[in-house]
Amino acid sequence: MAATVGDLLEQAQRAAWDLARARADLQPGSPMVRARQTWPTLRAHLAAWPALARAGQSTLGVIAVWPTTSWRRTPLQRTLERLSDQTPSHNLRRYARPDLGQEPDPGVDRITHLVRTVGDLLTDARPTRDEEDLTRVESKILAVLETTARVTLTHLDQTGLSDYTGTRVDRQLLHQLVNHAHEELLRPPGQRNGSYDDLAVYQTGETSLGATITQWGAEARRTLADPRTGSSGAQRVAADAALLLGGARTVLAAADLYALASRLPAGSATTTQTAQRAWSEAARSWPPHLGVPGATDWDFLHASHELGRQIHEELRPEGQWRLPNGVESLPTLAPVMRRALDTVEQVGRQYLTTTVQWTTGNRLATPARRLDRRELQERPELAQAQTAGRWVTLGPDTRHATALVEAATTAHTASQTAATAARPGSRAAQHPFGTSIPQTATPGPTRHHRRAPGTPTPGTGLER
Amino acid sequence: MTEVTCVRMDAQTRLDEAYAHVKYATAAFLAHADEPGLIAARACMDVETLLEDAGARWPAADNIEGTTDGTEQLTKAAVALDAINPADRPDLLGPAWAQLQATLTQTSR
Repeated sequence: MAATVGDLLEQAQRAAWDLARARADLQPGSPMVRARQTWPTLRAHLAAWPALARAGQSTLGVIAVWPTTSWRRTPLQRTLERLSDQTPSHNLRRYARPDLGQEPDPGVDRITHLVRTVGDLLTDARPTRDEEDLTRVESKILAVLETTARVTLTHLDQTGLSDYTGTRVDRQLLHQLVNHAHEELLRPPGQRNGSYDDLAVYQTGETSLGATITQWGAEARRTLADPRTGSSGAQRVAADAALLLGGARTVLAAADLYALASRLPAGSATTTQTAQRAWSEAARSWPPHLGVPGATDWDFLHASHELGRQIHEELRPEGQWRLPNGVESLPTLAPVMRRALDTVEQVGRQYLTTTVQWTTGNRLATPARRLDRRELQERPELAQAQTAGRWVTLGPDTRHATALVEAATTAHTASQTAATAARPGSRAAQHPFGTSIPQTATPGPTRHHRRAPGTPTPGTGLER
Repeated sequence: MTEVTCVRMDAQTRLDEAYAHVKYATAAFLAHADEPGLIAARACMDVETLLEDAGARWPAADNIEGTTDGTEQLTKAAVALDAINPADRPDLLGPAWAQLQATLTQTSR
């Protein structure tokens, strides 16, 4: 029986699904033990990727008629090109080369075969297919590539290998593939081909930790000020800030220990740790059943991922913060982290502003059944909503709203204290609660992607 | 025709259920108040976003009662997603599934 393109794509999707399910069940152990367990699978994956990248490139090229001149190539096209390049520019890829005896992973190989076959079938059929069909095929291939790349990234993370093995290039390329493929998937079909000019923005910039923190700070403030952003974005900002402050505390503790450059006031690691705890609490103050509906902001999400990736690479290479004597490039990192405290302070100000606006603007939503007795007594009309299982919006004086604002205020104040304490030559100033809240900045243009169907929007499906 | 509609509704229900479990997993890891918990929570937030992209509905978080064990919540989410008929899986569910498995791997250590 002949297989149709649809059959082949469905098989490819199932193969990618199974690949993710078959993650190695690692035994507990040291990072080295885990690395040893994952190593064969990782090598097999990396040996299989050049062929998969070539197949993906070729098949997507048939569908999208990608530009052939090098300066016009899309970021996704360039990433696939680099992944398909077998020139061993680093050790790991060399060990994983099929021509040196490394067998490609059979699961990834099967996906390659299926994607390539789809491309072969479409090559002849291309002129007779309508755009809608082709877009559907393109989406499925992008999803298969992204899924497979995420699985390989998992294996890379499991190895816990540091950069001396040369995994940095593979990791970066696979991250790029994941991001580009996902963004293409979220882009309205009619805008996919040729609308790639804005995709390279984050590729061309400075990639040092300092630049990444600056970029994250700018994106975090912008997304918090954007009325389209919801509580998921705010919660991520809080978690990011806590992670960043963990890195800052590690570096400042090392600087304290070595009395580095006497320009950094002693004891700033302690105030940083207090701020870190406050931001963790702010992230925690968003229970699963409370939130503000909104769209995911792709630009901020990318900045957040990049921040996490760089902090892990520089300061948590094996899942633990470096010890003070293990912080490399301390003279460079110490001022970077001091400035990071300023960045977090600015983000904290915007975070507080946004939280207050959401509570005073009655934008917080929760299921009516989550309200306590006191709140129901104060607003009897909610009892009916509770019975009907509906969601309601909350006013600023409710228990949840008060807790959120309190957590945001504490995070903001602790960030101010930490930033002040780390400033050269200054004493830590006290910043009592009640700091004036600045006006929200006007949000700039962003790439918020579509919202999932059925998502409530303010005033829709909610009742006060 | 009716049958197809039912299958799709079932897929949406399971997707929503998985999303709710992941939201509770995020909260459970954040409750740990330590850095591994924070990092696991960030990974869960990634899964949340990918599930939203795949069509999960935001109010679904109220459909289940969560527990304080984040890994258990993630496992339940995986079971819910795996129960969706392969033919009914949205394209964007594959990446979410892979990220969920990655997060499970990370948090099960």
